[in-house]
Amino acid sequence: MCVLLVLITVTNTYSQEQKLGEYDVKAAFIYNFLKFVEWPDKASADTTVNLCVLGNDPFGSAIDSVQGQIVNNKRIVIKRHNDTHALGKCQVLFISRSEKEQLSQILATLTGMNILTVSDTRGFAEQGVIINFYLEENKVRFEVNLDAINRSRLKISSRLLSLAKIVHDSGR
Amino acid sequence: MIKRLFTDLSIKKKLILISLFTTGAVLFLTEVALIVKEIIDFRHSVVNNLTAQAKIVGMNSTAALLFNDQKDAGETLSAFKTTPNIMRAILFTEDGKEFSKYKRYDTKTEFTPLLPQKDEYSFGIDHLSVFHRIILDNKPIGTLFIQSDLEELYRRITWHVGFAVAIMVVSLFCAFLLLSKLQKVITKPILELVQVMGIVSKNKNYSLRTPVHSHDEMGSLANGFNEMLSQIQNRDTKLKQYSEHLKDLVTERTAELQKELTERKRVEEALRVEKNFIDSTINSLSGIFYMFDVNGRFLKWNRNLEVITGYSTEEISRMHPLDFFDEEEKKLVGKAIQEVFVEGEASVEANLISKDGRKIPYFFTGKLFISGYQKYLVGMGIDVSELKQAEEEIRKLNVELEKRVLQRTAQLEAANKELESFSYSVSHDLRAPLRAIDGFSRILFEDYVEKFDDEGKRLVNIIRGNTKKMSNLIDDLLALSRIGRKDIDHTDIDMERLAGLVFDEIKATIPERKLQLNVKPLPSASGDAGTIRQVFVNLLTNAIKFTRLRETPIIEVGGYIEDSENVYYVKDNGVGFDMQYADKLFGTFQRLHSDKEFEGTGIGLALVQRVINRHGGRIWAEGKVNEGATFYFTLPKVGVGFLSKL
Repeated sequence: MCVLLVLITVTNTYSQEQKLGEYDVKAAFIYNFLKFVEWPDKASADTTVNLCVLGNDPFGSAIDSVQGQIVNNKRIVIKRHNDTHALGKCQVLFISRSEKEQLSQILATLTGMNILTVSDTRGFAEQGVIINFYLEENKVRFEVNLDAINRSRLKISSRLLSLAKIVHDSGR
Repeated sequence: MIKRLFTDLSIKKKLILISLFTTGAVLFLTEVALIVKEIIDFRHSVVNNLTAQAKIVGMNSTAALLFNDQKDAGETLSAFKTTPNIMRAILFTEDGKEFSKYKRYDTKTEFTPLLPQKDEYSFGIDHLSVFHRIILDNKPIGTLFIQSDLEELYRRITWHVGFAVAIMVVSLFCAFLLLSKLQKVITKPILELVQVMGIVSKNKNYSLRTPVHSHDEMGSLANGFNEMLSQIQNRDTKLKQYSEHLKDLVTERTAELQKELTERKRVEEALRVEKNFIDSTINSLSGIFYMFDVNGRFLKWNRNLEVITGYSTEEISRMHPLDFFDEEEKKLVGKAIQEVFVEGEASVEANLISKDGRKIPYFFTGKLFISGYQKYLVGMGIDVSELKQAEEEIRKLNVELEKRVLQRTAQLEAANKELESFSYSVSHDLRAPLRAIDGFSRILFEDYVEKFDDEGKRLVNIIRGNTKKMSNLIDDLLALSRIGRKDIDHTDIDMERLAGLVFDEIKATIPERKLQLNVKPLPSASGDAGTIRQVFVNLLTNAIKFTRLRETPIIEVGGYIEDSENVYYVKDNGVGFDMQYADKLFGTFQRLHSDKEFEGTGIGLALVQRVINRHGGRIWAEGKVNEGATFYFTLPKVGVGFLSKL
């Protein structure tokens, strides 16, 4: 928690952000997303929130600081996956850049599951990932695919949306 | 000032003023309460309103804060443009840094508030500040500060006050109109009463009455006033009568007072004269005068005390009476002073010590003087130095005199003795030749009588007669001298009996004489019985002798008690004597009659005088030629022993 607060604090200055590292900020943002996203009722009984990383982990130790934090009375658990077999238990799934080739296949697997998908690779949002990070003037920003949200049946707060760049599926 | 103005107002105006003031005060307080309540309510609503806005904006700012989106936050805050009373709004991150802010177009000054840890608000003079903590998922993530102006509040207050003033003015005006009419109910009877009172007090006409309109307090007042008027009317009449009487009384009393005053002045004058008299008397005393109290404090004294002692008035007023005496005499004088205060009177002789140390002998007297509850000693002192001197001289003289008397007595005694022994020896020595003459002349007469012729016989008889006479003379002289030498042996003597006995004895020797003796009661005496007997012998013999020529000689012996002595007398109706020669009767050999007329030696009365003198008595005689003589002698009363030394 303390680390997170520190993280939020330091994001205010560029120089410190540089030092802190891009993935520290992204890990903190993922943690914050949890506060603006509502999962359907069936998932609310769980006492944990599973935060899964698929593919090559770009966070390193940055994501570990989120492990064990409480959000909406649920404890965050970090899980790393290399395939799509056990993704059903994830509430949040970060899809690494390494999965670029299998992205459409992965997304297809996830259809019907109430998973908030996050990535940081250009074009992923247009392909169906709900939230995708990008850099603008060296600041971490994010875009949201409204179509993907509708498909996932998650509710995302308008306050979060008001900060995001809105995109749609490219194919339609 | 206001109070005086109010008291000078008429009752009508007072009533109106009081009512208006009361109404005004009630209205004012009510309106003030309403306005205060309005302000409090409005303040509450302003705070609630602003807090609500802060909550909404705070919620809308959460994402911007979390995702560090200042642009988005700025847009959120700019929503305040629609509420023109918001002066400024500032969004702070949780670590107190300014994240985004909004300022109204006319807000110029920069402002950095101190952030609190919880929601709160505060009122300034012209603004209201609200702090709202932004909390997400139970975690505080920032603070929103909103400042609003209070123009709305002030506008409302102004409006309320204006409205209140308007209501008040209208209300008071209505009240005034009503009161102007209604006050008459109360003021009318009062004004009537006042009018009647004015007339009464001006004209002193107590027959007037005020009309009674109602049965309330005003009615009672009017009734009471009317009753009072009738009482005054009554009293006025009585008072006039009294005042006439009073005038007389005052005149009388004034005269009395005048008299008293005159009397008092007279008494005061008399007192003053008396005091002057006393002071003059005190000062004119030749001695010293003093008066002091029990504590020895001098209250009064005369100038002599100052002159004699040399102390000043001031000094004496601080002195104690005993300060005037030396140590030895202080006790004595102190005792005398104490005696005065206890017994009432005392005197003492002591030396007065003057300031320069002189000792003056004084005789002091003291008498207790009580004035009120105070005891004083009043007294005088007399200088006795001259008296003392005189006394001393007298004493000296007395001693001298006594010495001289003793000397003289001794001389006299010696001379007397000498004389007596001389006369005794002469008488004694004369006896022998006289006896010879007597004896031989008797032989001559008896044995040679036939040898003498008649002439011879006559001459011898003459010798014989003269010899007898000379023998008597010598006997008398010897008796006289014996008296002088003999001591007096005192015994009680019944004088009456003694006189009778002596008379009878003498009478027996001359039975041819016809004699009458009257013995009156005689006081008994104390003395030498033998010599006193001789006194009676001589005096009675004398009396018989000088009554020889009388047809009926009467001799009286009497006596009486006078003062300290007994007086006895022997009285006869004989030839008497000329008082011119009374002092010569008792001299030795002194005779008033020739031997031819009445025989005698001229020693008898001298002897009597000597006896009486030796008994301490006196002897004298009274008589007239041919009218008898009375011989008086005295003896000291029985019991009063007296032995003359002379």
